[in-house]
Amino acid sequence: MKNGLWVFLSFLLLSAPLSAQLSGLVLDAKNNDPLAGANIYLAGTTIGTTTDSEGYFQLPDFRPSPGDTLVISFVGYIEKRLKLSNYRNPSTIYLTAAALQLGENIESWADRLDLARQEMPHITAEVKAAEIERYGSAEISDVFKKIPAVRLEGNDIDGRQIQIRGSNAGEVNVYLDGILINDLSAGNAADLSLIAVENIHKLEVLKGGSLPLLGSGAFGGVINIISRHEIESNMQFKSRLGSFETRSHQLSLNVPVHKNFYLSFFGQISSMKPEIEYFPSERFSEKTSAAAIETDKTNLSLNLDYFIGGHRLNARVYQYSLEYSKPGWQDVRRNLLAALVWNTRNDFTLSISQTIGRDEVDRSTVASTHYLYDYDTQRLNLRTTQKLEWRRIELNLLGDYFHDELENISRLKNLAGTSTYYRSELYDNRLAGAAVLSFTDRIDSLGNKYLKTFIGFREDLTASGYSRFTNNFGLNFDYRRGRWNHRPFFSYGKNVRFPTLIESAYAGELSIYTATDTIRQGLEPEFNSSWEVGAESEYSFRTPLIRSFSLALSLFHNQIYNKILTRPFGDALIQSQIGRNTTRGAELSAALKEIWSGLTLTASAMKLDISDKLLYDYKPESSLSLQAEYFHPAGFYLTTLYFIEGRSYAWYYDQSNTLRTTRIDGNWDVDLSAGYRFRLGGFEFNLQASGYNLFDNYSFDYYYLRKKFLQASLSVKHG
Amino acid sequence: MAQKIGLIIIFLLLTSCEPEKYWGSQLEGEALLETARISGQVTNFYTAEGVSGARLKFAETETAANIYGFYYLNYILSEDELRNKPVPVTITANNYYPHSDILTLNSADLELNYVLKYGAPLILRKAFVPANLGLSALVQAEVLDYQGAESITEVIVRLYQEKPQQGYEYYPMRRLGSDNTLSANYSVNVPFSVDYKAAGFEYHQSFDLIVVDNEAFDDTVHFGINLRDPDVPLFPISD
Repeated sequence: MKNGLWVFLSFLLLSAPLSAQLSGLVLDAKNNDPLAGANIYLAGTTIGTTTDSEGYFQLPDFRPSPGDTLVISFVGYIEKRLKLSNYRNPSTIYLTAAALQLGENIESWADRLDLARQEMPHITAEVKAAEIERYGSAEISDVFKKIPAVRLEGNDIDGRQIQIRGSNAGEVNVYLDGILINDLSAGNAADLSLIAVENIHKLEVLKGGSLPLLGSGAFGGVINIISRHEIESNMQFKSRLGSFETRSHQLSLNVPVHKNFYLSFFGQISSMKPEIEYFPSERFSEKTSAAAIETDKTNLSLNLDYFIGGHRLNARVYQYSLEYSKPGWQDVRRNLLAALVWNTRNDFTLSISQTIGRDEVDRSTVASTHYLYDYDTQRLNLRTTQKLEWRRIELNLLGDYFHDELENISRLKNLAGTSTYYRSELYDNRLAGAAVLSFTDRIDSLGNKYLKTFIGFREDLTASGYSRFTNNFGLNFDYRRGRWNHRPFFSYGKNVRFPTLIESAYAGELSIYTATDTIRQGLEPEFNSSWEVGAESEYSFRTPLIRSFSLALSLFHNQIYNKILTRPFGDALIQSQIGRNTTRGAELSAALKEIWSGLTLTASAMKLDISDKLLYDYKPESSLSLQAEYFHPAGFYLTTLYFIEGRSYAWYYDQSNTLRTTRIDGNWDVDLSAGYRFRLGGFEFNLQASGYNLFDNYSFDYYYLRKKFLQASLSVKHG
Repeated sequence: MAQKIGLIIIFLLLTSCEPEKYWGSQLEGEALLETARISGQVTNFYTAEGVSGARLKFAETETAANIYGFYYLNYILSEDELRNKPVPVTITANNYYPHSDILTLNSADLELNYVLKYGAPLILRKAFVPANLGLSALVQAEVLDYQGAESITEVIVRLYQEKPQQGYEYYPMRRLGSDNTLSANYSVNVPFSVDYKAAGFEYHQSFDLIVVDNEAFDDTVHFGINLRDPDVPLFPISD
């Protein structure tokens, strides 16, 4: 009897592998959509099945043999092969969409060019063209209000800039189609007015100070602006009317000249008469308002794409000019950016770009005496990138050469005539090499758990004698289970920002601001070390009522040494290099996407703790934003954004000419936009009205206000 | 082929300008003319407060001070001035006595502080007290002049009529005895009637106080009348 039982048990054990039944779920790796009709079969056999409408499959009983391979395939997706012995029943299998063929879609090229995909782990946020359009803003910088932990500063005349997680605007690298557009001024911040809202395909924000490929010197993060150039033939015209006599007209054209050759053009002319108010030290009396300020802007861009034998050659030119006059200050600014980019089919990129800027400033405190400053800036950048993949190792190499040039002429025009009293021709050259190496460890057999380890190195060398080696480390854990996708990550890194040309030129004029300052003979590079722990999670619902729920949390710590502080004093700049600052913070955001297929709700919050408020002024200690977007299939849409900014600190000179900080109370605001999109004949119309406040927080010493702004626009698209 | 084109483009870009610019560095500018960077503060002699908006003229170059009285000027020195030719300086401000100076400047940074004397009379305090059951009002004022109260020639109440098109009426104020040699008290009774019911205790009439001294400096201050919270007399009503 006992023997009989043993025989029975061993029979059961032996027979178990002889018959198997497999079941599971096949989903799209990008958006967790079920893939209906995917094939699941054992390689070299006739055993197989297809998934049902919800992506589920069940293989009938079969006798597995050792070494069997399970194949999951679907048209347009990369085939997946798994060892059957590794398959844990039941499982979810994710398929990744196959890359498009070369020349088929420019966007796939833009993605391949995008170094953001190859960077250290970080939190990324993006806003696409359709969302930007629905948001109804006249300036790109306003669109950034949508993104958690990002804040805009500046105004319509002095330029608009972006802060990420309490950083200064100069600590954010801004790329326009892969070209660094941070200017060469003391602030080093990029003016986002360079490109018009309607000419953007996508905005991307990479948060964090540890990004060796793109974020050199960017302690806050990186912004990628990807401009619009489509391969379909179309033409769009848009006109906008708004408060303060805002008038704006745009024309964009996409022309496929040949099957390998695409041309796109974008042009905008706009004018505005903003009403600004001055604080005393700008105008030497109580706050006065001046309605007579006039601004005239033009943006032009031309893009050519040529595809040949798997290579792409791209040439583009952007032009931006701004003229404005306010009492005591006239400014004419012109920027030209030209770039040539060559991509090969084996992931090599060479880009050559030249940025030319001219800024003519006329300042006067008294009508009889004018100081005229001309600034000519030039930057030549050669960049090569190469992506190498070898099994589970990926290596991204970057080589950069920057030639920066700044010519400054200062003239005085008084009752006796005009005389040139100062001229400087500053230039410097920088070479940089960076590498990011990543290893992927698949923890489970299905590839639903990944651990990716990143190691980054960067070396920067300047002709003026600075040399720094920095390194970065990151971990990214990707974990999918059912409809959940979790991505906890960690990153740590060092980063260096070299003094700009103006800062170096003013090195001899360091002065003391605080007791802890030390006077240095020359400037040291600014040094940053940061770490971040975060997680992004997403749940894809099965019900058609709602698509997904996503959550992102990040704790970050940024320590900065040798921070250079440049402040205008009279018509001069005075500068100091202060010990250190620590910014600690937390960022949390949650989104419910596509409720009843059209409503998206987003909430985000950030808390900051900045140790030196003189170095980091105008950074709200807390912020909260709530967004609701609704898009009806019939064409109606509505976007609202509500945000609160907590108190912040700014600097000013007191009665004894000492630099001090002052507290600025928090504020809140609502942005609203509504529109209707419809087709009539072969034309697509988009009628829109939006209202928001124009913020002006360039600096406490100038003016600080908000103005109600309303605008209406109509766009007509053909093609 | 494309590689060659790329190289040619790089070569052209590099050779189009001075080549040493592309591997060297230069971080210093040159001053073409000698300049003196002058900064300082203009203050009130009597109060030591900054003089807002004071105008400073150094030969042909002018600037203005900010609300705290601080100013900043980049002055270009001529050949003669470098050989110690003096520069005439004038500092002027509204209601202040102008100040002139002759300076020899050098190309170093200079801090020059100036003190200006306030010339105009100042209205220190005022009171508008309704009297005689709302049929008249007593206007009182304390006026200061740093040049001595004796230099004040007249103090006038300019009362606005109920309707703007009716214009205003002037009432010269009477000087009362005062121990202080710098400030003096003035007083006058003005006809003033108000229909309390119609006005609902909020009477938005207003008046100006105008002070003129013997050097034709003046001070004018506009006051609103709030009957809900009337002023307390500044000094005892003598008559």
